[in-house]
Amino acid sequence: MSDASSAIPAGPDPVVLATDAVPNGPGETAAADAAHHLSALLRVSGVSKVYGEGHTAVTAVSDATMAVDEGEFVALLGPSGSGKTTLISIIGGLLAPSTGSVEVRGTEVTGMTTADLTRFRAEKVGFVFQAANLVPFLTARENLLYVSSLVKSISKKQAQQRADQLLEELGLAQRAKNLPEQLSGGERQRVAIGRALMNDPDLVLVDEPTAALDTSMGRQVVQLLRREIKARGKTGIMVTHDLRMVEYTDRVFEILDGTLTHVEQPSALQH
Amino acid sequence: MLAIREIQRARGRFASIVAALSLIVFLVLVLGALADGLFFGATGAVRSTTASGYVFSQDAEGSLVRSRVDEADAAAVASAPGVTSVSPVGVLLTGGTGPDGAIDLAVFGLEMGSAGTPTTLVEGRLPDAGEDGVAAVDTRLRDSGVTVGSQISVGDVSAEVVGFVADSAYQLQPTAWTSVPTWRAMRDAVRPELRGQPTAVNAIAFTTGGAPDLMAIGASVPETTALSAEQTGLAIPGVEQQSSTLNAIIYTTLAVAALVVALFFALLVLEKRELFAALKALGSSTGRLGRGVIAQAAIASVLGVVIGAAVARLFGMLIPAEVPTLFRTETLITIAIFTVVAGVVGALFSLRRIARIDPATAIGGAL
Repeated sequence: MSDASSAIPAGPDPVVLATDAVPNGPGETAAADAAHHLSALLRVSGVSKVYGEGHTAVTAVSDATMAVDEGEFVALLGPSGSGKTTLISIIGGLLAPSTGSVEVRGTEVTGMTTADLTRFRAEKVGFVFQAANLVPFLTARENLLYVSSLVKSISKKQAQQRADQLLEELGLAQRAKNLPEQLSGGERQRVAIGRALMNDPDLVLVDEPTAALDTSMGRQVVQLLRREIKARGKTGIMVTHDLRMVEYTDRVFEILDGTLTHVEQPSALQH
Repeated sequence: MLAIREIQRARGRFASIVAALSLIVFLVLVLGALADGLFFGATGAVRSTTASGYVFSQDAEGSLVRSRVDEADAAAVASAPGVTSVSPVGVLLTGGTGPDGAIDLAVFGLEMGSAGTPTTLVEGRLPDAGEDGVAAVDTRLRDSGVTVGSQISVGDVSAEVVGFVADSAYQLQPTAWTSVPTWRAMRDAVRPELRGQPTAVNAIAFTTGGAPDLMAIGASVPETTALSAEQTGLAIPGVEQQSSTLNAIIYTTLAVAALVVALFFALLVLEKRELFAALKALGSSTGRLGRGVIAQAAIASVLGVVIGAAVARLFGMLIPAEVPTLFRTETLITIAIFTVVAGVVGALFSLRRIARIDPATAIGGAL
């Protein structure tokens, strides 16, 4: 599926042409920006995703090139239908791109077998979903321990210590034995953050974490997310359409109609 | 961990599938007990003896009652290859009188100690070889007030009960085991038309060292056939038909159990589609999730078997004694294995459903 020619970061021509169609911001294009981040942890090169064939084909993501450094917490900002969900799914090994490649710490993710992708997601990626998606019949602590049971590298005792420490940091020490139905929306999302960090992943991918929360709760959750990601030196990507949430990120990748347009500083987007 | 915790924390839901399986196991076990009761009640007299088989007249189609051979044929059977012991066997299905009044009887006359002697003595003793006027009787007659020392009579011929044998009924009638002369006296008392046949018996029982060579043994006497004891049991009118009918019901019910489990877990998986998508995105494999579902099905089936068996046993105590039922451990084990297999097979149908869940649907929240 990976096409060698499109795996090379695209030259200025196609991307510049593509960005002509969207409003120009002050930032660089994502492809031009990627060229400065040579030692990036995540490198997305010429990724496209096309659903269907012939004239019914729909291009969800078109020639996306971007790079995120280790320890960065970035936002992928775009309206619904912009392709941000598709792009993050490809980065997380949930979807195979039609063309292009994704590398995480120099390892090619594209073209892995299903079993390898499953292991990649368990070991290298932490997901935080829109609606927390905790296991309803496991306690907060057990939800964390469950994902550690998916990897072999960690002993049961280490896992328990790690889970307790994460819950403590997330302010959930008193709620460790509660089932998700006994937790508030914000608490659930915090458990989900703990779960995402449990296996010490390279990448933390966060999908609209505030969708089910009110603004102040949403801010708290994103602040906490930033703190945890930064404290651990993780690399985080948060998909959002909510401009208010980008102030907690280092950089913002804007996506519109399947095309990555600009990379901005969060401050440039404040109104 | 996931599978067990779910059962612990969603008890009500699993209670429903365990209850459904318990009811099915209960039904199947009661049917099994009826089937066994009928089968064992009909065939005890040819199973619980030393006989390896019986020689019948050719036209008898394996029926002890219909068969007619001559006592003297025993000598010819004894000389057949492999035969170690023989005895003429006379059978009389009749009514008789016990201490409390009328009783059903299947009187078996044979040379005690030779082929066909009961092996299930539980009280008293068997008649000695050549001892007339005494009988060992089936334990079922205890319900009719018969004890060791009682007199039972057929027509004007009496015999003293000297012992009890278990599991020896013939066509659901309790047996009385006595000598050939005592049997013949009883036969003549109720079937006067047979008085002119002083050497006629119904069959020749034989024992062999190893597996009997039925062709050779049958050929030792003209116009006879030899059947093994097992074949003789199945040849009793109705036995094979009853067994196959009840077995068909039992296995159909177990197939229903598989279907019930399949539907239950199909629904459960459908309900957890969103969760399973998220777990797959987190790095749980289809195999891991599937194993959990199968473990749950196995646990539910085992619990169903335990509860169903306990209830069936209690119910068995309420069944009146006239209804022939027999709760056998072998049947319980067979049904337990079939139920657990049916449960697991039912759950296997969910695997395809789990495999089809796309982890990518966990992102975007739009399922």
